[in-house]
Amino acid sequence: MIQKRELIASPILSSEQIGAASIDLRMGNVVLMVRARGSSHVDPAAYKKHALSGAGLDLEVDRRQKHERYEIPFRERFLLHPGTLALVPTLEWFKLPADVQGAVTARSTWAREGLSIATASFVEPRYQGIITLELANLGQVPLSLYPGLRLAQIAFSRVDGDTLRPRRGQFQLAFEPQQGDIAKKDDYPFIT
Amino acid sequence: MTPLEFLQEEFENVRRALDETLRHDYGPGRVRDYYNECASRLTSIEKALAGVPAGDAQQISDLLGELSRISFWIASRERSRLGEFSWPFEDVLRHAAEALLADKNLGGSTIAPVVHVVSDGIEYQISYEPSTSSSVNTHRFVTISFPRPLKHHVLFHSLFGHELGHAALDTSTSGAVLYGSVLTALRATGPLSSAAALNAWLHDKAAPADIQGALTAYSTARKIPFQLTDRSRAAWLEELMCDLFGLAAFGPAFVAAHRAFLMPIHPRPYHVRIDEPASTHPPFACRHKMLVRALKLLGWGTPCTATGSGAIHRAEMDLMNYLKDDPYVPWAQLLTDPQITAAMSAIQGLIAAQTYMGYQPPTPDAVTALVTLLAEGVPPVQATLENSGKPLLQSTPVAQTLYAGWVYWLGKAHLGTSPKLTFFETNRLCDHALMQQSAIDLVINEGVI
Repeated sequence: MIQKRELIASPILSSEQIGAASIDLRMGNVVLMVRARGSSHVDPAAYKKHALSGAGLDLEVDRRQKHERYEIPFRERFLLHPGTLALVPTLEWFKLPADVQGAVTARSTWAREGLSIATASFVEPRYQGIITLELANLGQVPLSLYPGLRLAQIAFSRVDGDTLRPRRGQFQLAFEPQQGDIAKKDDYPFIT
Repeated sequence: MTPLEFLQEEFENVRRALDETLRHDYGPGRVRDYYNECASRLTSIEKALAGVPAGDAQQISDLLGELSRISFWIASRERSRLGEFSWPFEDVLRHAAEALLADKNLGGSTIAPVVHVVSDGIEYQISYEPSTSSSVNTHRFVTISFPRPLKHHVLFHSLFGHELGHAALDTSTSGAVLYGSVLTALRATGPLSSAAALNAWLHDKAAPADIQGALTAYSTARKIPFQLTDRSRAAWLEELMCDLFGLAAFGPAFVAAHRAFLMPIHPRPYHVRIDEPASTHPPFACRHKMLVRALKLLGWGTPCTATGSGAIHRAEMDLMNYLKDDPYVPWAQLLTDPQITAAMSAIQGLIAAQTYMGYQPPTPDAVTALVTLLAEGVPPVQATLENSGKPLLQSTPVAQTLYAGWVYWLGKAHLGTSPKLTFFETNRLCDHALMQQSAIDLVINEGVI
C-alpha cells in the first residue's frame, strides 16, 4: 500500500521499520512536558466551568500553561524522568486511506527499559498528520531520548466499507501534539 | 562609589546575568558555546580589572564599554523564548552564517562566529557584532531575528538571504569579495556610478509622476532641488547587492518572498525618501526590476518541467508569471545586464563553496515529486520505497523545497482535487519537510539505510 501511495507514511528511513502489518515510529522533535509548577491539579470540572461560562480564554490559558514546549534538534537528547509524561510527535507524516485504521503501541525493546506509550491510541481512517506519542517513564532511572529513535509502532488493519470522520474535517492536518479536552459535553452530567 | 568600584560592581552584575542564562535551555543547543565565549571575555576583563589604577579613568571607561557590549549579547539571548522559531530553518541559517560569516584573525586562522537565533525581531534581521580591535573577543556574535508572527512561514524566511548579504559584507573573507567584485560591478556604469549620475537619473524626465511631483514639492518648499547624497548611493548599492545575494542563495523562492512580503509595504513603488538626510533603500520598483532581469539572465525564469508535461508545468508557469510580472517603467532599471551578470557570478562563486545555500534548479522529477506531495497534504521530501522495500532517500536542498512550496501556492488551481491548503498550511508542511530532510540527510551521510 505504501509503494502504491494508498497509505502514506513519510519518510521511511530504514527497511527495518517495516513489519508485516506495522511500521516502527520515530520520535519527532517537539516535546510537551507537563509543568510541575503550572497548575495544582487537573480537574475536568474546571474545563466544564470555563466552557459553560464562556471563558474560553481561561480554559486556553489553563491548557497551555500545563505544558512546557521544547524543540529538540537531532543528535540532542531530552531526559524523561521516572513518573513523568511527555507528548511527542512522530517524525513520520501519515495519510491513511478510508479503509485502514492504525493502533499505536510501544516497542517492546523500549518497554523493557520502562518506556510506556501511556495509551494505545487508535488512528482513524482518513487521518492526516503526525501521530502523537504519549510517553511515560515507568522505570526508576531517567531515559535519555533522541529525536529519530524508533520508540513506538503502528499496526494497521482494514476497516470494512468507507468511513467518514464525522466530527473532524477530512483535510484537517495535525502538525504537532496538542492537549485534548478532558471534559466533553456528554461528560458534563457526571462532573460537579 | 568610585569609578573603579562601579566598574567592579558592573563586572559582577554582568557575570550574574550570564549565570542566569544558564538556568534555561535557550533554544536548541549552542548554550555552551555562547556561555563559554562570554565567560572567556569576562575572564579577560577580570584580569585587566585586577591591574587598573583607581585614577585611570580612560581604562575604566574602556572596560565598562566592553562589559556593556557583553551585556547586550547576553540580553539578546535572555530575551529569546523556547519554541518560538523554526529550528529546521534555523539550522540552515546557522550553518550558512558560520560558513559565510567566518572571519580571519590576525594570525590568519579562521574564526567561526557564535550564531544565535531569536524570535523577537519585528523584521527579518541579522545583527553581526562589529569588528573591533578588542583583545577580549575570540568569536564574534551573530544574532538572527525572526519576526515572531512568521515563525512557521518558511516561504518568507528566504528573505534572510538578503540579510546574510549585509552581514557578510562586514567580514574580512566574504566582505572582500563583495566589496571587490560585486559592488565594483554594480557601480561600474549607469546611475549608480556616481552621485551626479544618480541625481541625473532621479531628475530625468522619464521619471514617474510620483517622483517628479515629490521633487517639485521639495524644490518649491526649500528653494533648492533635492539631491541624493553619496551616502545614499552607497546604501542603495548595498541593498541591491543584498537582493542579488538572496537570489543566489534561495533562487526563485527569494524573488517570490521579496515580492509577496515587500510589495504590500511599498504602496508607492517609485517612492524615494526625500524627507530624510539620506535615503537608505532604492525604490521597490528598481529592486523588483533588477531581480526580474537577474532571473532571466540566470535562466531561472522558466519552469523546470517541460512544456506540455501537465498540471505541475502549469503550476510552475503561474509562479513564473508572478515572478516576472514587471509593471514598472523602464526608468526603474538601474543596472545593465552585464552589471547584473558580473555581480551574480561573483556572489555565486562566494557561496558555491558551502552546501547549505546556493540555488540550483531542481530536476523535473524532483519538482513533480515535491509539488505532488504538497498537493496531497504531505511534507515535500523525496523518500520512497523500492520494490524490495528498501528506502530510496534523496537530499533536497532547502531552496528547492521552498521553490516547490511557492509552485504549489501560486499554482494550486491546477493541482489535484483535494481541498486546497491555506498559505499557513503550505508553510507548515514545508517547515515540516525541512525537519524531515535533516533526518534524511543524517541517514544518507551515515550510510545506514
